[in-house]
Amino acid sequence: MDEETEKLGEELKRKVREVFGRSLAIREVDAGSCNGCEVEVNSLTNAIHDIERFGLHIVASPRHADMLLVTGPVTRNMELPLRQTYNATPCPKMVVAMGSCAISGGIYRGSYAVLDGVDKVLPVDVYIPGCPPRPQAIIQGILVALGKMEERKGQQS
Amino acid sequence: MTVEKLRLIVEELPPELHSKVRSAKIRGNDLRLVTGIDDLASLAKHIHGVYQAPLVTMHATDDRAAEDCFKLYVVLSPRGMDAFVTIIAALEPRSQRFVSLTPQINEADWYEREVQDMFGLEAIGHPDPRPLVLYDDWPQGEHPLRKDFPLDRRPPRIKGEYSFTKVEGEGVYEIPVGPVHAGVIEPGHFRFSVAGEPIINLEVRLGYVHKGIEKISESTPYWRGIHLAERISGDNSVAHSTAYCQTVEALASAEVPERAEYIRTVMLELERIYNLIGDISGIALDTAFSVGAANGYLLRERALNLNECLTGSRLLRSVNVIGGVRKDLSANDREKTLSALVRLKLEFEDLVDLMVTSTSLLDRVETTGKLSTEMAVRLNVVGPVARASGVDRDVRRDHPYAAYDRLNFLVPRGAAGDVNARTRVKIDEVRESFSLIDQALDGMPSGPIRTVVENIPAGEMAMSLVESPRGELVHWILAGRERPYRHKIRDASFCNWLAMEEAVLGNIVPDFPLINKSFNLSYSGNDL
Amino acid sequence: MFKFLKLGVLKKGVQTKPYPQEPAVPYGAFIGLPVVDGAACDRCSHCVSACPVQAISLTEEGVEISTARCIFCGDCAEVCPKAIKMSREFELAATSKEDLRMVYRHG
Repeated sequence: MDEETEKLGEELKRKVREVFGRSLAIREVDAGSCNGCEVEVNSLTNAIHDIERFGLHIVASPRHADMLLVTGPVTRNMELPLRQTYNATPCPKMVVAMGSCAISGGIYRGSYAVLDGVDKVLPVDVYIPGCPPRPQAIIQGILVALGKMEERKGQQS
Repeated sequence: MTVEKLRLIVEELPPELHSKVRSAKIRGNDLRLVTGIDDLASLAKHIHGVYQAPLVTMHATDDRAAEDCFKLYVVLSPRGMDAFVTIIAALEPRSQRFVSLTPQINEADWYEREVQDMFGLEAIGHPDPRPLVLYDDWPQGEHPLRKDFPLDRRPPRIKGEYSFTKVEGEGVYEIPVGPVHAGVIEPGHFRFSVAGEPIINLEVRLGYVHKGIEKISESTPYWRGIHLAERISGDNSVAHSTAYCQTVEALASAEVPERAEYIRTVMLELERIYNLIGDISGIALDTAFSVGAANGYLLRERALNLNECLTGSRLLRSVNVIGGVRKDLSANDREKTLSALVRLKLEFEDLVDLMVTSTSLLDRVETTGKLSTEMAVRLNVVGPVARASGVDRDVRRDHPYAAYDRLNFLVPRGAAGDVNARTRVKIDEVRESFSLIDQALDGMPSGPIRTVVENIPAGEMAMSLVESPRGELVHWILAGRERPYRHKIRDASFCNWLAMEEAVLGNIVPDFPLINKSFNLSYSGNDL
Repeated sequence: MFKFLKLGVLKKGVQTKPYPQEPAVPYGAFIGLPVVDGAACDRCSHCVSACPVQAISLTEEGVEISTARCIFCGDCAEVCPKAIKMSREFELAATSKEDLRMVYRHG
């Protein structure tokens, strides 16, 4: 096993522990995706990717969540539910925009019914490109997000 | 043969209707009848009733620039024929009203509500004229699919409220669910009216993921529209893009190379396999049968990996192009597919064996979420859901496309119409898909995989039906210059949502997720 | 009970992939990040017009691909097999939109 990548995995576990005790609760919000990203998020919990081994859980309510994983270009009709979901999530919280349409509107950019990306509505911490991103790309995105979170904690204290 | 049958339909019209038909033309397997707007309902009802022709799609076009009117199109598919009847009726100049078909043809309900929202045409006599896609905060007089509405116009929000159906009585209470759900699924709102435990009414409110796909497509050149078609419903990428390509190819009267048809067939079946295995595992998960679910999702992951291996995308994107397919299947790919499928088949049978012998699972799925055959026919339900209720319909057999007319397969059917029947139909369909892929790989001829498609004549119309993992989906295009003038997309889910409102009645609320999973409907494909 | 065992650990073994401890290798024809060979690019801008989401632009420095917009369809590599390759890179997450701009310099 490559020493460097082994360190990477250890680092993920360490960061999860440091920032959020032992686990991180993720709430996935579909703000208008095509369902492709949902297929991949669902794949995260299967036996092959099994993100629970890092203490990462996909939870049922934003009130239990530390991180919002938002997919889709944010449709006009989902803007309000998305804001409400964000407000229901306790601080400190992170927002991850997953998939090309969550970052920029992707293929739907410029339509009358979409707002062209999550960062038009919420402050986004991490962007995960892909259409849809592979499950492992999502894991990497979460790792990047945890690094960012630590920085912010340092700034506040 | 088909032409004869279609001609007979015109000849058999009763005299009072025959006189109302202004023109009757046959293009390929499509009979196009032009009639007046006032006679649309009676003509459609006649063909719908006499030939047991379910409604394939109904939509409007904005022809005000050329002819100063809107037009309505009603497409029906007479039973037992690989043919369609399209009834075209122009509204009176400057008129924005038409008589609703819904009282006569039940399944026209949502189509007409959609026409009301997107074109601002009023369906007079519609039993439920509430908005379907556009929300109450959408201002009056703004209708996105009209040609004078620019793609990037974002109208201001206004104040408004949606009225749900009220069910009253002693002890009746409401449970609102959504749009953000507890599971990792798409957004939609469910309003249950419950008395004690059983659900006495369910109202589904969708439209949260409305992205304006039809409008985007109408301002997108054909070659680029294919990428949009792949993203109509993310897990039905191949089905939607195949339908889109076939429609454009039909417009240009282009012949797709035979090898490309076979490759499309393989991809369509790979898509069906990963979707249906996902559905079956979902049933196991929602009945708290974790061993089955874990094994099922493992199989789905294998199928997704095979997809990535063959096409570069786990969800089979970038497979189709107009005129064929993008990437050939090499001999090496063929071997990989065959060996992966052998393993997948064995493990799938293990999973099935585990599931159908588990009494705790059977106890949950039997008699749950029953949809009767009558109701399935009345609501024009499609796909595995319809087949589990005993309706014998499958586009692959009834309106063959790609290479399906050269392959042997059975159309599995159930009778009970409950969650159990739907699960079994899906299990049998996966088995058929395995066999179809084997046959397609065996029979695949050599040759080119792509042909150049150009000169798509403006003003032509064409349509294509494809059996997606969720059922029959339709793409209908009226060609414009270099891009569709009107692109109507109808996903299988658009037909099936109303059936779910029926199937949950009398079931207890905790069974709802299970019933929902057994239907596995697309929100994105429905809302567009 | 025996069935559970048969299907479970005994038969399948550990399935979980050790990512991120070990790097993940995508399967077969995986389409990842488009990579431009600056030396081979002759600034014909065919890739710019081929991109369905306007993710590619020609700038002073070279060719810029925005992974914020890219849908990884491979159309650009198809019109310009000489200079553009779809790599197998998929770990693209970034904390700012600025980092999503991939600039490939000329020469």
